[in-house]
Amino acid sequence: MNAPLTPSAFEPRGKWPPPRRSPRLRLWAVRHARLLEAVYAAFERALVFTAPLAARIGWKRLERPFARFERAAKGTLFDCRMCGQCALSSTGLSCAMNCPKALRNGPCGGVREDGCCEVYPDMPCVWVAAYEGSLRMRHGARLAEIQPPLDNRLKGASAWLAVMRASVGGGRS
Amino acid sequence: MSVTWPAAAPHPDDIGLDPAAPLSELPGHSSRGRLERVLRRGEFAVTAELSPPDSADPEEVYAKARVYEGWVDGINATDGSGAHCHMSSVAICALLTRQGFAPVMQISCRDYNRIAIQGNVLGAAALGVANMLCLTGDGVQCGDHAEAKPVFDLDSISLLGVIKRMRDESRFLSGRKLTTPPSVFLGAAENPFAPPLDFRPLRLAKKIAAGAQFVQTQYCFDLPRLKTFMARARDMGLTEKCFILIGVGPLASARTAR
Repeated sequence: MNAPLTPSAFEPRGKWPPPRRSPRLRLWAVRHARLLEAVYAAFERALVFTAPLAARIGWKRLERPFARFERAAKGTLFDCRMCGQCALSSTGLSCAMNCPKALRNGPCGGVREDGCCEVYPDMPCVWVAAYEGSLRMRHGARLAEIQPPLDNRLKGASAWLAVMRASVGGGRS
Repeated sequence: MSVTWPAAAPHPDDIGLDPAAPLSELPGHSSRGRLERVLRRGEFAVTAELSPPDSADPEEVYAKARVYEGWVDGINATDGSGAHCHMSSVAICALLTRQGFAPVMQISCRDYNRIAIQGNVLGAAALGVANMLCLTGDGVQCGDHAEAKPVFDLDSISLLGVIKRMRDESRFLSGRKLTTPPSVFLGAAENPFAPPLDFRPLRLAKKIAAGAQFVQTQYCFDLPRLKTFMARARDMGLTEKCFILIGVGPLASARTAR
């Protein structure tokens, strides 16, 4: 049953699941979901406020620096995988792309009795964390939102820029 | 479960002499299958699971199915359960419908992307499969091909949505039109015993919102926990929207029991 761990299930390459009870930042982020939710709400207002300016600069020109900044910030805090269609606000600030099955709508049936992952017995289940995070959040009920299948073309793209674009009715191209 | 539905439909046992002939269409039913009829009449339905053979001989499938003949309303054809390689669920279902059995085709998201899954759904419906059960699937690491690439392009909930859309809107996920939609009764699985326990009823609600019409649970040994789960589901009104089939099974050995 317990075959040797293969990192192949994790994309992009090279990210190993955090060992249990280690002070990984992403678990800290879940514990402080309410604070970070408020921080993001303010940040989103700033994004939307500057969107018309960004539209004038040009979405294409902003894409690379935005994606780089987003990858650094969210990668550190949430172990973000840059799926390009961020659902963190609906997943208790626990990045669903860290689930080895990339489940975006809830935990699978295989979660262990101790709340750890079926595939990686040492990793706390992303969705157990998501549920805990959502209980702390003001808009935690967004956990019930159904996430559509991933658009794999958006991998690596900046989700923040997409938010700005949507706010000025730009859509994606 | 004791859900009362308007019981206007004829009993599945009363219609047709040829077991392989499809049942007639009924208003308000989404499939022509036996399982949906039995459930919508408010009767107790029994489904069983057929462990797929590691063989290319159809006789092995028939031999396993004949054990259930006359006893069940649907035979689950598992789709690489435990991430082990076996005969595919589409093929087993196709064999079973030829012999007049009512299969429940399990679809796991582990092995196919959305293109393959939608193709299989159409093919299986054309072969007479009336019930489909949408699963996430076990990780490849559990099985005999731990080095395989896990797909997980969809998850069980988005898969439900995809097939529901094909059936109700007659469209692929891409929006392209189907000429004939698949008439299928959609199912999902639920494990009321895995953490986060409080999230499980909510997840069931999500599955129902996404399109699940019946639910098969994991084997249930912990009755108090099941009662809590069902009470929660009832409070949320889920038992009115969906049929819940509780999983029961014998223990293979004393070791499994531990």
